[in-house]
Amino acid sequence: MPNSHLDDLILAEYASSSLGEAQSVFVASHLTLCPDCRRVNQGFEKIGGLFIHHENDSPIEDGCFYKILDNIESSRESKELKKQDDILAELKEIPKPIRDKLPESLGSIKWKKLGKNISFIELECNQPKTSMKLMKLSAGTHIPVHSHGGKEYTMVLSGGFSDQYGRYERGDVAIRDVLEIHEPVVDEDSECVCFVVTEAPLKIKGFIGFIISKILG
Amino acid sequence: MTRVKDRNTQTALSLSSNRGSDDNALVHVQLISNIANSRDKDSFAKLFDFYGPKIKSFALKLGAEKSIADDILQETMVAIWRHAHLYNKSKGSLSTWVYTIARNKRYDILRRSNRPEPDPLDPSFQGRQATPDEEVEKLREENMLRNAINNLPVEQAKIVRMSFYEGKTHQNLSEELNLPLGTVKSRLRLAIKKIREEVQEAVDA
Repeated sequence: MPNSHLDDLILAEYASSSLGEAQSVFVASHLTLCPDCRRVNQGFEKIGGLFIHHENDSPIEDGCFYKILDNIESSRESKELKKQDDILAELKEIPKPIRDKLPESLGSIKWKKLGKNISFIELECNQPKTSMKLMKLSAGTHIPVHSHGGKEYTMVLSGGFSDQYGRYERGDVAIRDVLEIHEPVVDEDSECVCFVVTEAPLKIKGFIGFIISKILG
Repeated sequence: MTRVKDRNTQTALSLSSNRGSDDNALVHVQLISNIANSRDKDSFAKLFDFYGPKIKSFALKLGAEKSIADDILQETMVAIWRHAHLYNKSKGSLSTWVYTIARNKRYDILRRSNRPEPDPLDPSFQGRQATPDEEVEKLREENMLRNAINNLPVEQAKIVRMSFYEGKTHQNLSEELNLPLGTVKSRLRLAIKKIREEVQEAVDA
């Protein structure tokens, strides 16, 4: 079970669907792995349920109910679930909200290399100025000291890393705000796969950092 | 069913209510069960009469056009019909279930993509069996939450409604209420803290 959890405010934003696409994928992925945060989320949904139960009535168009009945009778339910067997072994450990953002043809997924220690897969994201990535970091990798133009959301999927704020393993989340500088270091004994959402480009110190931030944006 | 302490007091949840809404919750559970077990259209019509106008109001909250709100209403009702068998009363009231469906349909239609959600059938889903105490607590939770929200100061109840229910972003709230973003967040945090404390007190009582 994760030890590092989501804050109440972001869970409340997710429960009411006011988060952007990438942040929603991030929260839904943590909820997949964290029964404690799911419990809080359910509580927030119950608040929504109380409000809709006591909501004022808006007028309904004549014939609306019969249109709904027509819809029920004329359309068939779509079967949208992919067969679980189709999921590559490596991806089984990745929560479905992230998998749903991978290309349709899973066989075509290729990790892009960035030097010898870092590789990544860019995920489909329709939210302006925001990116979603899967990142794979070799054991012992040091990410250069960096801050952020916007928030950076990181969740560990396998392995672990540490920074000056704590240590993170599968399911743990680290959310860094603008100007929060940190220097993550991957555990020495295994590689680390993370899901990372960035609201704006990283700001990594030095010339090498400049090149990395241009690529990782 | 626990009732709100004083019906004559204006509170966040009783203020806008124009029906004796608590008693019909039990009737609604029977109606959804009729739909699940015998595809009963009369029961569906009764649920539509209660929830349809409320779902429409909810759908209009974020400034959606009427035609879009009608789409959200129709898709929500179709999903209620199709998935009636998935409603589990031990997890919460029918209103909570209806709210989550309407919220998801609103997200899907306004953003033209499916709302990301944890899926219990996902191989990576980390389950946990609730203890018997937790199960009992879950059933009481909505009554405790109702009392906690009704006991919030007016300004906190308003911001909770706009954020938790209407789906307004913190930035929207800041602009609409003419408050700094930091004040919006601190007011929400304070409201959550009060709700949590009151629910905990009720659990301990």
